[in-house]
Amino acid sequence: MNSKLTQKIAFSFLFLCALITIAPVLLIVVIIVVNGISAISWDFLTTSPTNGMRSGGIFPAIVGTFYLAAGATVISLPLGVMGGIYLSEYSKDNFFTRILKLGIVNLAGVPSIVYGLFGLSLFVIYLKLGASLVSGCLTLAIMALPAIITATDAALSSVPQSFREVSLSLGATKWQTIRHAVLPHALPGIITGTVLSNARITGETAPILFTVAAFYLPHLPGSVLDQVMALPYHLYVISTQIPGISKSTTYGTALVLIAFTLSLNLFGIIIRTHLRRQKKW
Amino acid sequence: MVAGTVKIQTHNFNAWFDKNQVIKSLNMQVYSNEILGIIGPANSGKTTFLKSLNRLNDLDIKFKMDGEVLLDNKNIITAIDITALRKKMSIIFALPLPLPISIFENIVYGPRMHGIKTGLEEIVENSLKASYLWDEVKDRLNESALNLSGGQQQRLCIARSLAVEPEVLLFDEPCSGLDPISTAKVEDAMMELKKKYTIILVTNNVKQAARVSGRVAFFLMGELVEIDFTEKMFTNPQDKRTNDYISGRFG
Amino acid sequence: MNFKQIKEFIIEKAIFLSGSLSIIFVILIFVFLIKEGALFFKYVPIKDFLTGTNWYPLSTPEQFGMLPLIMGSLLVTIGAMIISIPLGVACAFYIAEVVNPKLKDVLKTGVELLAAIPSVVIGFVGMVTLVPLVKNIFNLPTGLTALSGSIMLAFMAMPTIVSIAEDAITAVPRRYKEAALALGATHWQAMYKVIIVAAAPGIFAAVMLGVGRVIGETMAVMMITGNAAVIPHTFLQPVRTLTATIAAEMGEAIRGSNHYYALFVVGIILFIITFAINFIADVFLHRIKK
Repeated sequence: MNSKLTQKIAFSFLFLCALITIAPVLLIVVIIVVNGISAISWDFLTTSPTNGMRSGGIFPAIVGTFYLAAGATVISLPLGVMGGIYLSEYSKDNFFTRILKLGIVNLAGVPSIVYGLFGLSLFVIYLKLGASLVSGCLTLAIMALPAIITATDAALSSVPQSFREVSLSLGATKWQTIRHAVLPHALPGIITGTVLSNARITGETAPILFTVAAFYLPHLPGSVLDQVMALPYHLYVISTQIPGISKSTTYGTALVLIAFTLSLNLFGIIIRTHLRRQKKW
Repeated sequence: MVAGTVKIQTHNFNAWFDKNQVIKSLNMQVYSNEILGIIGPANSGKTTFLKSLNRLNDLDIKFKMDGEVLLDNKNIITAIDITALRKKMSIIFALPLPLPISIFENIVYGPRMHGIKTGLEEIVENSLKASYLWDEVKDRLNESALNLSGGQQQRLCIARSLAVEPEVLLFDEPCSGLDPISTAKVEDAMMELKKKYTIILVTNNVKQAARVSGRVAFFLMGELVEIDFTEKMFTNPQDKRTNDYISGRFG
Repeated sequence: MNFKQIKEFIIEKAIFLSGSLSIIFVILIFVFLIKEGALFFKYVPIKDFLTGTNWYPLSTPEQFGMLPLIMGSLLVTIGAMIISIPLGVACAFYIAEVVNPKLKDVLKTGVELLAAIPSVVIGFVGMVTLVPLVKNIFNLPTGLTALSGSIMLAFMAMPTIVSIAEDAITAVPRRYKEAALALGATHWQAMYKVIIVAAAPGIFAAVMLGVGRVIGETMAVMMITGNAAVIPHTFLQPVRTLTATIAAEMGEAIRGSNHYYALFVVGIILFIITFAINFIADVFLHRIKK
């Protein structure tokens, strides 16, 4: 067989593999949209579940997920950005930095259920916060941290060194330089990283299982020490623990959840592509 | 004799990157209100010397220095308030490096960092006039600095340095990326600026040094070979190496 | 010191502290898992725990043999890797070497979106589509099997494997490829004879991180592997993984009971496994950068 033909066959095979890898995304989205769209109504989105969650809406779960995402972002963003600033602007090429980077890699690799155990042990029990919104937000925030640190580090490092030199040469201090000459130009990259990382934790179930998620709680939380319902956990509950629930309710819940996470993701990806196109330096 | 008083003097100043000594036992003086040209081939230590003066080399962790560099009789090598030092010694880099913000914001960047909140318009106007850019940009101060031509950008950078009210201006091959017309404009600005400031001009362009500087120093491999009045240096250099360099035999 | 310098000093300390948080949290996680889990070994010998073949936490006497859980995780992971390594690496090669730039962006976005689908959604879709399919094809009493779990997990490992392997392939110096082409090799020959060798450490790291992702995955496996804590003999049996055990049982374990402590020990085991995997992957990735 001649080598040109081999190459043609090989490339077609690679194409097929790529197709099999990517296709499930479309497939999953299509399955959920087709089966779930009929459940989506104003009532579904704005009322509480009734009849043992077999009917009614998913409003408390939507609100709970929104609170969790917002709370986790509020906590993780400043810490993550400062951590990224440390890595990019202050850290030296030494053993401590090497360990620090290993810590970040490992924090990113800790299984989500282990985060759940950790949250249970530290926040719920040791700090006596109980299963509550604040315990859940803290657990998710720590989970989001490595991605935000990494994104911030990358965004800051891509700002030209000359900006720093110019600022310092004009008598600005190191922090002034970072704050006024570097950070503003890295901001879009940092925002993208944060959006992408928080879109991911929004869909997480395992870390909130024992730290915040309520099985059934048909009202909204009154304080940060209350439990909340959350979309991912709600989907788990109704699809595995509630026999005889209508198909469209589960699909509808799944649809709302992926609409939430995928639109956040697309948003992040769009800003990023936009940025790459109009990079000024 | 040179008019004016001694502004900067060095005593046995040495500098290294790692083990590599880039400036060897430098002894020289710079007088106030003169333009001192520093010439020499690549790697002769001229830019390192310039960046040592406002401690920008500190950014490189491999950099080390010792000896004395006195600014108004205060040693800058042991200076504690480096930001105050950098405010006094403002550098203009080889390539124009405007920040990607408006013309106005570029110029007020330094003053803002030093806590100045009022009279910014005046600072911008004065700085731009002093760098011969005002007439070209006065109607578009809010445009991005990146829209200016290379020569305009470099004069903007000069204005930006002037805005922090320095005492010494350090030019690091400021015209290396510019066409002859832009170069002439920058040189005009320098001639005017020496009335108020002390200027050190590092340049690869021997002719530029001859055109604008009152005295010239010739650096080679980290050593000061010769320093003298421009006319004397170009007509009757004392050292053979100086003669070789000026007449274009190496470098 | 003036005001500016004091402010600078405080900010620098705060930044350093935030920078160290990652290490602090990794240590905290370990410490708090140990804090809850260590008591377990007061009551149950470590040997019984690691080699016992029965996981009956609620029977009397209770039995905490972890072998079925380890075997469950292992089987599902091996299955997922058999599927995802060839597919993922092939996909990475396609994206890095073959496809035109425009389609490249589309494919990369697709891979990224696959990573963005919550695991509970993947589990749900697997439950309603794949599980009945497996049941019918193999004529089984239930489709909740290790096989179903492996297939869904394979897709969850894919984004990690593809993106990191693609980075590794792209990072191979152009001159290697050019040298091969200059000697008359076709593009494909250059790929499988030269580029894959040069990119091997990175591809290995990608696979390791994929394994880490699969072992740590919880919700999807819990929903589609059947959760039977018995030592599996084939892919067509229900299994229970380490992660699913924690997720399924922690809710009903009484705080302070042996069962509760045992679940934390399972967490410690998971933490150690993923730590080791990430460490190895990091070493290989670091080697490429140098």
